[in-house]
Amino acid sequence: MTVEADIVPSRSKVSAALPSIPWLMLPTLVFIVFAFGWPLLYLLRMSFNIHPAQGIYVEAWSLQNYLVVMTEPNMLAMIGRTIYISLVTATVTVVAAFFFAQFVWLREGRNKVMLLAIAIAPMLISEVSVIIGWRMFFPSNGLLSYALISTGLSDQKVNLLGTQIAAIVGLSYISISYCFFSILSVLNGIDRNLLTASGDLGASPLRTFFTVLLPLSKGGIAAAFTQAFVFTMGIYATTNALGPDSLWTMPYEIQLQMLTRRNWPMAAAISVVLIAIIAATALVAQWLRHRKASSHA
Amino acid sequence: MLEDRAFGYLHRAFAAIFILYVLVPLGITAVMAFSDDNVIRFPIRGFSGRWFAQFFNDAQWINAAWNSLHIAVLTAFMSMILALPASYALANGKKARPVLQTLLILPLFVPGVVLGISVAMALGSVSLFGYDLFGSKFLVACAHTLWALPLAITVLVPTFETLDKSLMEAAGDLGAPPLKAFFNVIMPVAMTGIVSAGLFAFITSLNEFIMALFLTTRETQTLPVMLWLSLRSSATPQIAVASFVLAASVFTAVGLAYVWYGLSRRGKK
Repeated sequence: MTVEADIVPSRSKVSAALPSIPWLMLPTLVFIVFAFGWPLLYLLRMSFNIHPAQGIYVEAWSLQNYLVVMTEPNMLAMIGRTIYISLVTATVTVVAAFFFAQFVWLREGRNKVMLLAIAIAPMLISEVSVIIGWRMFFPSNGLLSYALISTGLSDQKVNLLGTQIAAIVGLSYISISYCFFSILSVLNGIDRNLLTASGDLGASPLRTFFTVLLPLSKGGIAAAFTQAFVFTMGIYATTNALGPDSLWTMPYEIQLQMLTRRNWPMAAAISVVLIAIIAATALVAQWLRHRKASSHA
Repeated sequence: MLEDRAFGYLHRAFAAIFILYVLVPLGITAVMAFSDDNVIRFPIRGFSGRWFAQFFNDAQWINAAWNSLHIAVLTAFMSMILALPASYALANGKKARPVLQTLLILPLFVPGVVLGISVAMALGSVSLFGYDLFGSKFLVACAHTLWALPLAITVLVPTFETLDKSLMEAAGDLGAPPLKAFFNVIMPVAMTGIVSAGLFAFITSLNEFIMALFLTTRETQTLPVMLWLSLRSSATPQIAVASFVLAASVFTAVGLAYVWYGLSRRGKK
């Protein structure tokens, strides 16, 4: 796998050290085809196979699995739930990330570095550690319940583990750093004097926020929202370990079909539908951005 | 002005809540890891290091930790071997660049569970030279590289872009073969980017557990996979210790890179 060996000095002596570009890309492209392209094609092919009563799959060209995913009420409810929890999580995450990014944007120096370090922390922690952390916070013998009782805010134990709130808190933790940096990079491009000018001209802070800051940072907010939505669509560990059992999402069903039911074709079909939803979201977001960009020009 | 100040306080209060939100899972794990109790519960009745002792004497946890480290090093190594030439080419090429870069970023947007089952289905039954891919650390590292490679490329392309193009030409004119020119001229200048890219790849692999869940056997299980599998069965602070060790390894890696960065900057002055 020595890649640099592919560098062939082909042109004049002056450019002898300039490697020829396609050769340098080759190892990466071979790897992507082998470890990404081929498995995804295999997945697509698998989704048309049939799951027999005994065994894992029989080769076929059938639309049976897709028919089940797209028409069975259980499956449709599951797709709806996945989209719902991802939309709620993305909204909460973007709002929180925006206000914190705005807070950091307005600071300087050492404080700012500290705040940036805090904002990057969720990105460095494994999803499983996030889950374990919140599982010590939410249950009736966890920190939240203890804090509420010892401050007198509650007179009995409180259990939030297994609720949608716990699921959303955990899910948003996973994409919040990415959202934060998307929004901060857009804010960094805005002249802070605009806010002062708006205030000097008599606009209230709320008015400045809605008519100056928000329109200027729309692009970053949209990118962050798409990112959070797409990430959340693919997560099942956090949803499953912190949320209620009824919060049964597509990725969870995929691993269930794969590991427990041994129904590979069905796991593949649900995966293809999940990828299609993610791709559609990304394309719509891209299209909206381009339309906006061209209307401004 | 009064209104201004009110919003200022509100913003501060919000930031405080946000900081608390980020620190709660970390702090709670660090505290619980040192609990002396037999179960996870608050208030903590006493502190001791006995769960750490138990962790480091448990062959299965230690084996999982070593597996994680092996796979993460392998992932970082593979990502760098692939990303260095590819990023260099992308930074210097113009024509096909947007298409190629988009193609290389794609795996980041595919959920881990989908990548995990796809790789398990397509490559799980393959053997190379009589060596079964399924359950091997190599296959897990390949899957992790799918996420680590785009991250590495995203860091490295801008690094190579800012380099002076004439460096390579000058080295060539002075008679250095391309490989030598790359290692002796380009690498030292781009070292900060290269270290960050490698660090990203390493951390990504160390933390990932969904793909690994579908691709490992009991022998090759990684630390986060074992954590996930014992999440419901274990109610002792042991799990907090394991989670603490995982997070501490990541922060140690980041810390080391930071120290290296500080030293190399001082060396230049």
